Amino acid sequence: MNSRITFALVAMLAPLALSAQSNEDLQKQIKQLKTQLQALEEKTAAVQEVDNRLVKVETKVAGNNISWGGDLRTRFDSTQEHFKPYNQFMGFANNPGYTLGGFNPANPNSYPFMPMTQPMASQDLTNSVQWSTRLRLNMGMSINENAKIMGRLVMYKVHGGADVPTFNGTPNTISTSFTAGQTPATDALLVERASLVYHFPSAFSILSIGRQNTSDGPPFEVREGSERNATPQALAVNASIDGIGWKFELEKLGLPEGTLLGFCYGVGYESGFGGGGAVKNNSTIVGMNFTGFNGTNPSVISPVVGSFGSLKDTTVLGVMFDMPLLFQLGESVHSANFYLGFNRMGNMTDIPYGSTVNFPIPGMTPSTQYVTATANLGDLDQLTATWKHKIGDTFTYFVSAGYLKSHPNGQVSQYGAYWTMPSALGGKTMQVTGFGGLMGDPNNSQTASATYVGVRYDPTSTFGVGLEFNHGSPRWWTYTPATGEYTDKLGARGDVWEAYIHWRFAKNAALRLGYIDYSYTSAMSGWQIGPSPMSGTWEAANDLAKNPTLQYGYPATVKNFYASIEVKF
Amino acid sequence: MRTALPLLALLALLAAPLAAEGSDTKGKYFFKKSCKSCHVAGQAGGEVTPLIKTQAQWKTYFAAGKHKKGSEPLTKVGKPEQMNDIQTFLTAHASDSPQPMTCGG
Repeated sequence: MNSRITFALVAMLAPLALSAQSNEDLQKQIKQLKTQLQALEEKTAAVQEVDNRLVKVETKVAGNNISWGGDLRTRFDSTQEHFKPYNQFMGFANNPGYTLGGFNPANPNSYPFMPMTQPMASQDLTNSVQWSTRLRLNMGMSINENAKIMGRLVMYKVHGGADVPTFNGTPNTISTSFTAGQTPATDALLVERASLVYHFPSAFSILSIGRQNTSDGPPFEVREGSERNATPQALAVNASIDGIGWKFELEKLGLPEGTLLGFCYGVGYESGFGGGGAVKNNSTIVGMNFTGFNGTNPSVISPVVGSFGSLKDTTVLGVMFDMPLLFQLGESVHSANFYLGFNRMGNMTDIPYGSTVNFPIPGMTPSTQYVTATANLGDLDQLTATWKHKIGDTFTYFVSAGYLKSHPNGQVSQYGAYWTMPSALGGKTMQVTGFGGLMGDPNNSQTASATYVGVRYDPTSTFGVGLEFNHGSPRWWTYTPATGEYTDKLGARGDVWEAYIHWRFAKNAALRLGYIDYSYTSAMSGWQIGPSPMSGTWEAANDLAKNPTLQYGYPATVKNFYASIEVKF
Repeated sequence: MRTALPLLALLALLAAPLAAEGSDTKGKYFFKKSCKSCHVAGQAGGEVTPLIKTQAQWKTYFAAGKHKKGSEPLTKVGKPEQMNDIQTFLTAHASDSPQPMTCGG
């Protein structure tokens, strides 16, 4: 009986007990769910916050389609220049040795007037401390999937108030649009590059129009330890050029990936617009022309102030071939580039429009002077080839060569003095002094050549040493005023050695130490023009070791030590 | 010789790499050889260039070590040292790198 009662009681109370246990579990579950719900709400809030931030970022990115990068370089230069003795041209005087009779261009006494000169002793100039800072801002703007705008703004100035280059006889000390941002100037940001690049996938080609990437081209990137900066080879052109380029992607024809065949057209001098046009409309004294000379009667000679009339535009038509190679030999990977370029520079002028400062005219207060082209001198053909080869990550070498041939038209620059001979005496223009004709000869085609070689050894990814050498023949010229160096290295008529250490001491920051030794053989390095000698050979008349008669002094040697901190961002 | 030793030690110190890095040149080669067969415009893998990611994004991608949207490990694409070289190349020319890959003008 008792057991039955007990059983009945248990049976009655069991659901209650179970119910109590279920409630407890339920409470626990509810509590857990509440905790989970709270965590979920917190996570949702966090996700919402991230989403809000992402929307803001996406909105900003969508509205800001300009990407920026660039570099900052602070550089210290210490330079010594040595000038050999030369004869400074001072003007003209009657020639006491003048003899009436048959005219002989090679005989100085055939000329009624003679140049006055004063002997200049050898000189040594030292600029032991010079600091400069260069800031370059690279811009990239995507227009659509095939179009973008590439630009570069540059501020480059020497520390202190010397914010304009002093004209020292070399073209890279004339402020022109070709050297904007590449030679020290003011603290203003100048536009070095601004071009629209349009990719036509269906035509396998790339169009580039505007202010082109034509400075610091291959193989300068070896020394810089960077990517290739421009299309033209450094030995051919290193200046900011405005124009248009069309490149075909030859990899579609089975050539190695990245192979390009390009055609370009640029304008070097626009004769009908801007400062050049404005100045040329005025009769400006820039030189002296002696005409009417008949070889027998000096009284009929009439000196004429140099003036200049309408000029043709200077244009450049170029073809370039660029073939990169990437291959493996054993365990080593090789990266190589072959560049071939040809430029036909038409209607070359004597000097671009630009400003010079402290123009050294005796007896006049130094001031800013504006110069402009005064004559079309003819055409130039320029051929350049470069081979660059990187073995693994450690060893790189390059070989570059240039060849130049002139096609003069008989004209000479109005800067200076010259004779215009009557037809009975040959009818040619005889340069006396000044800037002269194309490659120093207004009448005959001349040639010149140059070589540029270099090696770089990078034992690690952060440290490299390099050695470079270039040589230019006595008439060598290349349009490279914008090298950013103390003087135009690749335009040198003579030999130049450079050794450097490049140490990346932190991410994106590097120290560079270098030494450049210039040894010039001929005057007027960097110029495509030059006066013809009144007697003797051109080479002898411009040989710096032979007391040449010069309008400006040109150093025979330059020794330049530099140290720079370079930061990229 | 006595003066040369400290100089060599200094050069060795200067030359010490900032971090264990792969080869940029090899990375470019392996990237073109291993990756570009699929990752070009119009192909299933879609176009991949160094510019499609930032340096940090490439670092994160290789740290995850996943390929084909996570369906296979990156090691199936190439050897670990090759992946390290490819990462070095892609990072060195990423969109926010000092040397982004461009057409060169």
